[in-house]
Amino acid sequence: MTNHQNQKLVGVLAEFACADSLLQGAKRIRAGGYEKLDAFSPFPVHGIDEAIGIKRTILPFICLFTGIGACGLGVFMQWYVNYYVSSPIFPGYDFYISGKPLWSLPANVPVIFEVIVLCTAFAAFFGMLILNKMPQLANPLLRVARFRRVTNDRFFLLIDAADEKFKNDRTIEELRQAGATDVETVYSDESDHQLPSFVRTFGVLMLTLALVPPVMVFRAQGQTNRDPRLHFNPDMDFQTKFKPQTVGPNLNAGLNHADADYAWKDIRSARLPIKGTVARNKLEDDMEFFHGIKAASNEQAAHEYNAPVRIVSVTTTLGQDTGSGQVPLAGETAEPDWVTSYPQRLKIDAATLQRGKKMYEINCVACHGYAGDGDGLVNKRALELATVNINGRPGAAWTESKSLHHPDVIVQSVGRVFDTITNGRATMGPYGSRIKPEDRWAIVLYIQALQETRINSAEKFVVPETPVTEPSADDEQVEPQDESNAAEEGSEVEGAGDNATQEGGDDGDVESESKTEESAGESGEGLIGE
Amino acid sequence: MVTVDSYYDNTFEDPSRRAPLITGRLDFNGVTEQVAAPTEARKPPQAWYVVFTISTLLTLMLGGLIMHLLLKGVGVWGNNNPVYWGWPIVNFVFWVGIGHAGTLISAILFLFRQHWRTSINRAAEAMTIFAVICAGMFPGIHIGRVWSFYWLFPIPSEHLAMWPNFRSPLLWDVFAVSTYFTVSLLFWYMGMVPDLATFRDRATNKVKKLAYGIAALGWTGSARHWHRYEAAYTILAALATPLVLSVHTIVSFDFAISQLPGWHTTIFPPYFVAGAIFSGFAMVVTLLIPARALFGLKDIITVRHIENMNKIIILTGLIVGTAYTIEFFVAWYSGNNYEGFTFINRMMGPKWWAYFAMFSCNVFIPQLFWFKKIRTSMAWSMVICLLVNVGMWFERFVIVMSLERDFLPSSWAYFIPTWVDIGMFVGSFGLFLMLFCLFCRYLPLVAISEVKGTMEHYRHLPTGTPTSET
Repeated sequence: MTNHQNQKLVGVLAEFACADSLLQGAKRIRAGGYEKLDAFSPFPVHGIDEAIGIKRTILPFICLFTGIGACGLGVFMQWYVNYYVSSPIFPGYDFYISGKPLWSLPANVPVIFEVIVLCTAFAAFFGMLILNKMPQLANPLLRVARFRRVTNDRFFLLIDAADEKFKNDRTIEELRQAGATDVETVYSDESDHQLPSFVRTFGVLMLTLALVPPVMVFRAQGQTNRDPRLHFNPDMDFQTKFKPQTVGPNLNAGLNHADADYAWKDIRSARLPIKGTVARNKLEDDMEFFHGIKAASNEQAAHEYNAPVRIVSVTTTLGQDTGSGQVPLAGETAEPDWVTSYPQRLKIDAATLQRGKKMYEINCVACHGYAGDGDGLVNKRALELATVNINGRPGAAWTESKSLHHPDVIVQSVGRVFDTITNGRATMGPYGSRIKPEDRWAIVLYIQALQETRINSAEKFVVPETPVTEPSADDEQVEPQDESNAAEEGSEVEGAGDNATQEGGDDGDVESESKTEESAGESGEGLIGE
Repeated sequence: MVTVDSYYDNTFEDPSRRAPLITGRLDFNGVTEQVAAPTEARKPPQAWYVVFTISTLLTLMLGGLIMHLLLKGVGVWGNNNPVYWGWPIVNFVFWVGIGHAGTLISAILFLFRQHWRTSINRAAEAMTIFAVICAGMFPGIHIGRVWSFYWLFPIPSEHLAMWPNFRSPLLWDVFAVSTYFTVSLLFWYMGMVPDLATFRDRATNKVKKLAYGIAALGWTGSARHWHRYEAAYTILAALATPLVLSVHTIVSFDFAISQLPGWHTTIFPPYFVAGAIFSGFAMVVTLLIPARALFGLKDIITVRHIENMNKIIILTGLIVGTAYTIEFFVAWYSGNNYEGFTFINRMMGPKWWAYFAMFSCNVFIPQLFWFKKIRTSMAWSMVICLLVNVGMWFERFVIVMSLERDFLPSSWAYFIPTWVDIGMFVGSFGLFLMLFCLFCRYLPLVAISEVKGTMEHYRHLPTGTPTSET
């Protein structure tokens, strides 16, 4: 025996030769007044429960109530999943099959039964483990050498040291008298409560390894990759919405109907604002400011102007339908009465001119160039590409950008220039939806300032109060435009401006918003009529 | 506690005394030693290596074929119009049926206090688990998009926005088979805990001590633990008994709920359950005859055990034979042309040989077990049980192949399996045998504590029993 100074006494362990002697010994010890005792045997010994006073386990009741609960669970699960379609989250799915009722108990019995069996089996197994306080891997008894045969062919009785009647020597004597072949005191070892040394290392290793999957998930989420995306967390990857330029909801979808029944007559998913309505901050009540047309002019003509003029522009560019008498050619269009001076609402000062410069350099420079010579980078590159032959065709089809110093442009009234920016002209796209009206006017102002630098005349343009700072466009770069493209009506703008504002338009909301703006500009007496 | 000698013929029926279950004069320690020997031996017998190597290679082949299936699609099987359910469902029903004997031995015979079950229940339960693994695999890989297998279960999914249909027998199957596997596993493991503790206490090296120690959950054989353990064991047995009946009933519903001639019959559930137990017992005998010889367990798994199982095979074989006959009678009695045609076609149609194999292997051949010489002969038992397994596979084959000729003669076809079908079936045997080999080598093949409990029980019988005499 070792020194037991730091060890706690657990009890006295007595070995018995066979199950019978264990049973008799246990009865005798219990008759002697001991309460806290336990028997150990390689198989269940009949009668030992009464001999050492084991109360009936509550396990059957745990199983009974689990089974009853599982029955309810089985019924509820199937009712929810196949019948409760109006559930606010994860609604059920009702299968209509051969006109059978959606909720019919007989068909649900098999699953209810299986759920009961499964849950009750779990209750029996885990209930047994929990009531037995298992798993209990460290046990002072397992340190006793002779106790190893308890799972083979030996029988033991343990009297707990916590028993009121427990007295080391006397208890040992009583056990011997009860028929024990060997008696031994059992001490709990401090090391019983310590984890084996490898557990810590192993645990740290496993925890570290456990970090690998989440890290890989985060890595996959935060990196760009050419492979299809992994949807660990579907965020907003799958949205129930309509993408731009798609058809609207088909009410007959999935119903095996031959023909589709679209929710809206025009089939499109995008909706236009109702005629005659005006969106917030979209009321364009000033003809001069918003359209560059004199307020006194014929409103009907002004309204009708926008649509045909663009159709004509396109057709002339394409070289088709020019001879038609119904739609006048662009040059011959009965143009509205363009304003020739800036509208009242526009405050003309250095700040506006600076603003115009800024907006011009954001939106216009790409094609028209810093000095307005039509030598923007896009224009240069496109012209270069146009000279390259790819598969026998020019690399790009491009109409040279218009120089703003062209006589045709110089003579245009400010209202007309404003309209060109707003609605586009020939192949130049409309910027009305992208630039605010006051900024468009500012651009007109800046364009006029640019033109002034060439014409060298101050008559048309007077800046009140503060003097205008010289625009940054350098004189050295300015080259006279002597190209013979005077015959062409419009300058062509492609791409540059569009990309800047429309990037990332895969979200339908952006697209539909811009659509709404456009349509608001196009449609309706309500917008113009006051 | 002491039992009779090995040469004692415990199949001899003497009405005046109870035949001993354990021979070889084994005491408690002797039983422990014998059961622990295969796991404690330095090397297993050579035959073990042969079987293990072959079965592992077959398992690898099965894995390769499953990969082939996943990459190519279910078209690699012979399944096609009109036989959409080909070998996969045949194999599924075959394997799940085999499993049922294990549960019958461990649960139903336990409730009936058949003490002879203790020598064979552990191996039979292991067989159940491995068979259900093989069974579950086939529908698992038949679903097409295996990576979406979880759609089988009622898990809320925003992406799919759909739930399973709880009125479909195929869904009942999912619940029945997964419940069956889980409960069988719990039952098997719980029964093994005291024996794992025995192995833990005998372990000599550190790895074994740790592995068996953790698996034994700190079992000490405390009377309080035994008390709750026995309660839990009885409850699990009481749950497993209706469960095993329900599982094959539901498997039969896969067919019986449909409206096809030859399938839509109320006889299917009892007939399937009887067939399952029939084939399962045949498989237990097939496995245990070599196992008891290889691992020296002849004194624990005695000739009497094999004989008892053979008797059950006669009984269930007769039930199955009756069912086959009743089916024919009902097909004629119903006056339904399609029903009548299906059965005539089964017997005399293009696949008459399958029907012949089924009927002779399942009904006629097991009748040989009426002779005691044959049912106590290991060689005969082995051969007959193998033939019963063949016959029971053909039974499912015959049922599924009724699809070949349905209502519309223009769509009739002759089903031919592909090499993948055959390879997977053979591979599933490889998986089954590999798992069984590992089980024999590393886990207690016999329920040691239960056998000891039986020995103790028999010792208390009135004097005159051979167990107490010797």
